[in-house]
Amino acid sequence: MIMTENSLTTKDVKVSYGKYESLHGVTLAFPKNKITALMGPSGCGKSTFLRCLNRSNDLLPDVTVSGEIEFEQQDIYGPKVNVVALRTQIGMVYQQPTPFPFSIYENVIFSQRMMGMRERRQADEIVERSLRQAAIWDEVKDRLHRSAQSLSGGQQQRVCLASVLAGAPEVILLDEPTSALDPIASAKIETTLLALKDSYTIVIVTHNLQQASRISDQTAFLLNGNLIEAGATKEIFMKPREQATSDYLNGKFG
Amino acid sequence: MKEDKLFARSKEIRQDNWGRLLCYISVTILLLLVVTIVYFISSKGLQTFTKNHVNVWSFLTTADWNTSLDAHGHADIGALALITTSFSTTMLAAAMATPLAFVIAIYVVALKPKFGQRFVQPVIELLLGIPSVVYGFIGLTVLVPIIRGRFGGTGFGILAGALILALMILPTITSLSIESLRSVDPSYQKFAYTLGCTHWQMIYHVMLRISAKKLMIAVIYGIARAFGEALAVQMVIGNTVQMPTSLVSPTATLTSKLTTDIGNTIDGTLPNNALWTLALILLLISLAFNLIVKGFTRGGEAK
Repeated sequence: MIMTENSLTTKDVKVSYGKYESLHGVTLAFPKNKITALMGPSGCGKSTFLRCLNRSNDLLPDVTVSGEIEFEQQDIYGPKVNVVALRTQIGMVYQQPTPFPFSIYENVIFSQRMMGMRERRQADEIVERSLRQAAIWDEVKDRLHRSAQSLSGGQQQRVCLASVLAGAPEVILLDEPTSALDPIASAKIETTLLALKDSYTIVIVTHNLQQASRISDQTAFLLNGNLIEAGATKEIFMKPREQATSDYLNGKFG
Repeated sequence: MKEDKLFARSKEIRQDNWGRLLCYISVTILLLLVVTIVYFISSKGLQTFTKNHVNVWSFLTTADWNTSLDAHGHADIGALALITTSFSTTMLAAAMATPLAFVIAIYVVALKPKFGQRFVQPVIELLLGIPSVVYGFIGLTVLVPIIRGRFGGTGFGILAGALILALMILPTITSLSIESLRSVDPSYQKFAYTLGCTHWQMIYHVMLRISAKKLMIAVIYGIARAFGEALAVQMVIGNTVQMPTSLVSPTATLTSKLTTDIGNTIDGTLPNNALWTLALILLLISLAFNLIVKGFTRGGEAK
C-alpha cells in the first residue's frame, strides 16, 4: 500500500449488542482522501463497524464499543469528546434517503442552521456549493424551495449527501447508499463520490462487489464479525490472500 | 368451465351481499340521525327569531338574559355574556393546558420513553377517565375557596372554570400530542443526529416542526372539548348571566346556562326556545372547530 496520512484509525474494535458480540476486534486505517470500501455478506458487521466511526452506535440501546478509534490522532470515544461536533466532522449517509419533509434548501442548510448560521447570502452560497458537490444542482436549482420529498430516490440520496457536505465534514461515511436505487441513479452517486475524493475521506459499506471494485482505493473484507483481509482494491480483487475472500469474490457465498 | 358452477349462488357471495347491506343500513341510520338532530335543533332554535320575533343581531350582541315580555310582547334577550364567557374560559384553559401538555408529550416521547410509556401515559389516561362531575366537585370544594381567599369575590367565575377545564383537557391534548410526536419517522431523528443536532435541537427543529400541524389539531380538539363541557363548568362558574367584569366575577357559559335552565322552562315558550338557540350556537361553533381540523389535516405535512 502507498504510504499516506491516515484520517481514521481503528485498533481492535469490538462491538456487543447486549451480551452478543457482533464485531470481534477490527484493526484498520482509513487513508486521507481515499475511498475505502467495506464489503462482506449481510450480517458480517460492516455497518456496525461503520457506525462506530462517528459514534452513531451511541444512539442504539445496549451497545458497547471497546477498542480504540482515532480521528486525526484523537480518541473519539474519549470522555471529553463533543459527540455533536464529531458527527459534523464525520458525516453519514444512510441506505434509505430520508430528507426532512422540508424544502430542498432547508434540508441542505439544516446542519449550518443548527450551528447558528443566520446570514442569508452565506447560506445561499453553502447550499449552492453543497448541491454542486453532490452533483444535483442542475436538477434542483429551479425548485430549491419545493419539498425534498417530491424528488426521486436517487435525487433524495444526493440531497442527503449535500446536507452532510454542507456541514463541512472531513470524512463521509456511506452505509450502502445505492442499494435502494436503480442502476442509473447508483452510477450518478458513484461518479459523485469519485469527484469528492480529492477533498474528503470516504468510507463506503457495500455488498455490491462491482461497486467496490469500481470506486474504492482500499477494500476491507469482513466475515462473521472478523476482518478477513484489507488492502489495495486491485490486489484484493486480483489476488486475494485468504481463501474466504476468494470464495466470496467468486460468488461461492454471499 | 362448467356452466352450473359459473352460475351457482355460493354461500360466500351471499355473505358478501349481506355484509354490504349491513354497512349501507348503518351508514344510512347514522346520516339520518345527524340530519334529524341538526333539523330539530335548528327548527327549535330559530323559533326565538321567527315566532318570538327576537332580533338576531340583538340576540348576539346584547348581554341581558331577560326572558320576560314587555307590553308589546317583545323581550330583551341577548347571549353575548354567555358567548364571551364561553370563549374566554375555553381560551384561557387552552392557554394554560397547552404548554404543559407539549412539555409532558416531549418528555414521554423523546426524553424518557420507557418511564413515560410505563408510568406517565397510564396516569394521563386515568385523568381522561375521571367523570366531569368529579372535576366539578373538586373545583367547587377545593378551587373556589382558594380563589375566594386569594383574589376575593365569591371565587366563582372564569378563573375557576378555566382552571378546571385546563385540568380536564390536559390529558386530551397530551395524549394526542404524544401520538403526533410518536408518528415522526425515527429515520428523521437519525438524520438529524448525523447532521450534528443536539438532543434538544432534534426535538425542537425536527420533531416539533414536523408534527406542528398535528399538534395544532391536538390543541383544537382540546378547545372543542372545553367548549362543550357543561357540568364541571356549571359547578364553578357562578351561573349568573352577566358580562364578566373580571376573572373572578360570577358569570355563565352557553353550556352552563343550558344545563341550569333546561328543566325549568316550558316547551314552546320564549325561555325554552332561547335555550334551543344557545344549543344551535353551540352546534355551529363545534361545526366550525371540525372544519378547522379538516382544513389542517387536508393541508398535509409541514413545509
